[in-house]
Amino acid sequence: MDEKLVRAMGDLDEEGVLSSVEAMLSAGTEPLHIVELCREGFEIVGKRYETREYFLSGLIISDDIFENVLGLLDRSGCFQAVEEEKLGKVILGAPLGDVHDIGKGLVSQLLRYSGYEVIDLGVNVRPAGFVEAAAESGATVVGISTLITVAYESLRETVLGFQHEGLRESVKIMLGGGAVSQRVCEYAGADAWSRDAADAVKFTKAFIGKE
Amino acid sequence: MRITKLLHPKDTMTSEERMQAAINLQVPDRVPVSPLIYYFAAYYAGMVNADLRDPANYSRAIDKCFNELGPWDALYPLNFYHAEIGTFIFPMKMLEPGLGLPPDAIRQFLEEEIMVPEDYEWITRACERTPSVSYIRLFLRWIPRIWSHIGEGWRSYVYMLPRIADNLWRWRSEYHDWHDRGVTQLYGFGLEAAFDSFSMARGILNFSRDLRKYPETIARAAEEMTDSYAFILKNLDRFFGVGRVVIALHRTSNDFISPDTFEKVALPSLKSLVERLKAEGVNSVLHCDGNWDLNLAALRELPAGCCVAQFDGASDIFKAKEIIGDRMCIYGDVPADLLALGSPSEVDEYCHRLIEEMGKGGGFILGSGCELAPNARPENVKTMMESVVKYGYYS
Repeated sequence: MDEKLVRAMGDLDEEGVLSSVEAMLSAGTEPLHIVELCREGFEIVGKRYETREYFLSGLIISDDIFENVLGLLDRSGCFQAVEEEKLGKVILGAPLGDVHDIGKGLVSQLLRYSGYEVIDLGVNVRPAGFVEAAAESGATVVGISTLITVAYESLRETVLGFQHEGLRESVKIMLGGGAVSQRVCEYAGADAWSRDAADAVKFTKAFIGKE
Repeated sequence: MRITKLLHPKDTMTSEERMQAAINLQVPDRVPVSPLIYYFAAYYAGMVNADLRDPANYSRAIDKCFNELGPWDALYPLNFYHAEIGTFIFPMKMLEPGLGLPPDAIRQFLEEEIMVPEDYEWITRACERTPSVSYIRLFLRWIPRIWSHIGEGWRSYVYMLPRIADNLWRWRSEYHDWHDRGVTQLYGFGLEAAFDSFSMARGILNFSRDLRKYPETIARAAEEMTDSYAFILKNLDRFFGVGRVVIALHRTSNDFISPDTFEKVALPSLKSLVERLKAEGVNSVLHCDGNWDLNLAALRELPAGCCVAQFDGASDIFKAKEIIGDRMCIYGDVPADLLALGSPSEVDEYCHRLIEEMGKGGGFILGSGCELAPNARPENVKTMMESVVKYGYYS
């Protein structure tokens, strides 16, 4: 049954996922175990997205399916939120002047399903906002996503802000979105960049050193 | 249109002849250049972006770019003098400089639901009853959902139609001025493709769910809109007298959909539209934003010699030349980050490569990757413009 659920989630087979979950609940399976299996399925989804077997819509559908699983667990009355041990904290946001949030939302989803706690600061975040959030939360990875070239200065100021506060050594900064490149990464003084949401998980794993 | 003035001493073709030769996959006298300049003009002229909605300011700003950094062969117009006109082309909620954003910010779009699921059926009914103007009716149905100050029903018509007319007449007058300077324009009018309009108006989350639940409905609705799209584009293009239109494809790249979805859901209506326009003597400039690498082979289904595929730097433009270069003209793609952060020598090197490799045998237009970055370095923009003179002559 475990394998069936993981495979159904990986295949984005909503009916298969929900019927497996119902059967497992009837058999008395721990809800947390079900959530863990869903996460294994998400890893398959993430890998298929990475290899371009799945596209943006696949990620969105996988999120919908998981929401439905949570709804099922909730309705069954047996689901109790159990704090899982997170692999690390990641701060995400779009920089000052940028209100786009789709790409950031995808990265957030992929990171959460990979076991990381995500603190999403939203859009139009001033440089000091990233620095303050990292200082308060103790997050060691910051991801900034932008689609506009006029945000380059804001990216650079954000990185400088971490330097000024003495946090640059302890915080890794990754850039994402259609407007970033190696040139932008170097200009801003960030640690990594990609236009592919799946790479954010790879970077985070490498930065934090835990999987 | 009548253009007689040549732009450079070595030119043997007018800008329009050069553009036509490139689009027809022939070898022009040199590679044409057509950068998409809008907000950069404000930055360069020392204005704030909101100033560009004033026609006099726009003229001053774009003229300064042309006189000091140009010339360019084809104007790529994107100047909406009424912010609401932009939503006729991009049906999304938008924040404009000075309208929801600081006056020096750039336009941004919000992923909100403008189109409701019932609208797919509404489209079918509208296309049966009023096939030629169904997109105009759909837009006027959507616009009160986009702009809260615009009323529903007849109020939207009363508000929008004079503004659309005003903008169209202003554009036509401006184009004539450009022709006198020896500059043609890239297109007469443009619209987002139907599939992409639905994606924008539904919002990407809703639309992704729609694609999973009822792809046939989306494909059918997009196909049904073809009559209206062809009617609007053809007639507005005639009003401007260009012979080219832009079909914007912001949501069709592999960043959003799979090649399979592209072929089965998006491409059929796009192909119908391009074929209809070709039959009317109108060429299509496909504004291909995002990464199109996996869609390129399918683009071969579009008729040859009447399309321009414009890439923004996210696709492999050199691969595009290999795959579709014998079918359509390719246009692009000096990246925004290179123009904003690179050096003139780096820009020169990239433009040289584009001209040598992409321009080989004709069928190439040099341009910025999508809109020229507002914070591009002026010396880089000038380098790009000069590269067609430095490297672009064929003989």
